[in-house]
Amino acid sequence: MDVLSFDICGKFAHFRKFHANNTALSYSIPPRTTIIGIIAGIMGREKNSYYEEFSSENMRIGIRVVSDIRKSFHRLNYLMIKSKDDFTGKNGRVQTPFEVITGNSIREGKVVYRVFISDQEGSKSKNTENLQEILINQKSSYNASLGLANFNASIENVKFWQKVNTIQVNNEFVNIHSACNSADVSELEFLEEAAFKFNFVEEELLPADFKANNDRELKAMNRVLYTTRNFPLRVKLKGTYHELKEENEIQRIQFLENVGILTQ
Amino acid sequence: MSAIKNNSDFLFIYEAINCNPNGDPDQENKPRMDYETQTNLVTDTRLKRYIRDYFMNEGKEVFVSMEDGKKVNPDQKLEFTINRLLTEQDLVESYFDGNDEMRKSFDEINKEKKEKEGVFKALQNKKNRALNDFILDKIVKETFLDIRLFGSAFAVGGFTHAYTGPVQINWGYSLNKVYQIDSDSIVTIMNDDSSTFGKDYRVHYSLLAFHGVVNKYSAQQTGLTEKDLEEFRNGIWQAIPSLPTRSKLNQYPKLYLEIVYNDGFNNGHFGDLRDLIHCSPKDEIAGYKKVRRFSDLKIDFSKLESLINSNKGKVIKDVILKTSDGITINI
Repeated sequence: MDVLSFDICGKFAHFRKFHANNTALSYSIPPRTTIIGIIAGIMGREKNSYYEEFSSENMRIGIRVVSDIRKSFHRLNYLMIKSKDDFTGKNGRVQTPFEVITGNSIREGKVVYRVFISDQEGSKSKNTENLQEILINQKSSYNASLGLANFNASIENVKFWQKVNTIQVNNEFVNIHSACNSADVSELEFLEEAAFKFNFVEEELLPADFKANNDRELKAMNRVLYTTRNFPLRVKLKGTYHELKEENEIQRIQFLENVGILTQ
Repeated sequence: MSAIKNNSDFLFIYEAINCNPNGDPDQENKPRMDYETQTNLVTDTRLKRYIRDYFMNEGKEVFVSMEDGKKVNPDQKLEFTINRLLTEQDLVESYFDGNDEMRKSFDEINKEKKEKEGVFKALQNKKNRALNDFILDKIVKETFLDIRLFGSAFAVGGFTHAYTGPVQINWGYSLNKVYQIDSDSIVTIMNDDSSTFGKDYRVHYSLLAFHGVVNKYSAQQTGLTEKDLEEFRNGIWQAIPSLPTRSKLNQYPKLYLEIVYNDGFNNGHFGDLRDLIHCSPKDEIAGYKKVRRFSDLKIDFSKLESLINSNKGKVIKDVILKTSDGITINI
């Protein structure tokens, strides 16, 4: 199978948790639904038009945290809207806590995620190839951003990997560089002598697919395990992973798999 | 006028001296800070408000504003605009010029509408979707400069549409470490027997940098023209010092640098332009804590200069540059 990878970098990021109401909490990594939105924007698709084409059945997506990331809260002064007359500000304002993701230092660092894309086996779509063509030949349409339209981002480090090895393991310890599917992991290991003994590990349920009804109705979720530092996760894994080999580095990655369809 | 033809990225830097660039409403209105790195922050919405206010003072049509001196909501604003545009016969003529089909449906609605209600009411019927989209599109493209630049979401009965702004500005942050002024109590005297102590938080000196993009694809949706962009470039430079209030005094623009890309090059081609500037306190100033003015800082633009100079003609079509005293950029 062929895999396309690229880095998406910016100063600030915010991936809104859809279940949080007044407090705008952010996921630490972009959910699959956010990533397909970024890809659709680069490819010049219109809003809400690509849910089926880029769904988990057609496109496999993996994600890796490349920079150390940090979250902090700031308060935004939103209008308090309870009825349509409140846009004038006459009902006052409401202070909404808003969580942003930055690098360790805003001034010197940045937020970097690496996205891996591959066409699902048996899928007729050629998304990986089309996207590669656009990225390599500088033909992007809408500008990429990290969650909010104004959190501008740039795409760097585009690579195409041909004939990627897929490895099947049955409960063995491996170092995985991307976010892993929780369902495949039975144990985490922190090695005293390893450089990454100070790892920060999070588990999260992330939106994966929308129904193709233009309404952003959630169809499926991913349950994932990842680290917020640029270290691999040492996990006891049952399932498959993929090896992206370069001269000085081997990246072992997993694509996000659905944990079951929510609604039909 | 047609929509802009090129993508561009811009860098905007302004300084804030002894003032509060952007208060955090939930932290006693202290300047927004990331305390872990002593970075002062300013949101994009603060900057856009300066620009909108400046446009309004210049007499331009701004959607997020007032009508007849009263604050109005989007429904009323739209109603006001539509009734104003579509009740005078000569205006209607030019409005639907070359769109006979739209003209026909509009005339029908005009005939059917009740004696006392305005055109707007009659239009709000669901079946007029296509006509309303056409009217809204025209209003945005011909009337409201701020929506052409920054976008807006319309959620008015019969008129729903979200416009993503072609101009997107990231949050700004200080290039230097920023420290707050210690003494911060003020007395307010209301009348003889009731005065209170208030708090007034300020920064000593903050050199704030913003990175923004202008995207030609989004521009087609809102109809952003080259002329609008000229207004924006002028507005961002003029707006901040022209609207001095007590907490916003002593803020001056320092640099506006816009890289206009040739065809086939996209926003973010050189990453965040702020990463190409290096700022540090001058040797004779004992660290960031002692920085009080622009001349206390050393700013190194060499990375930015060499990048621009080596890409001119190939990637870069044009560079638009405005600087104030004390900044030289050799491009």
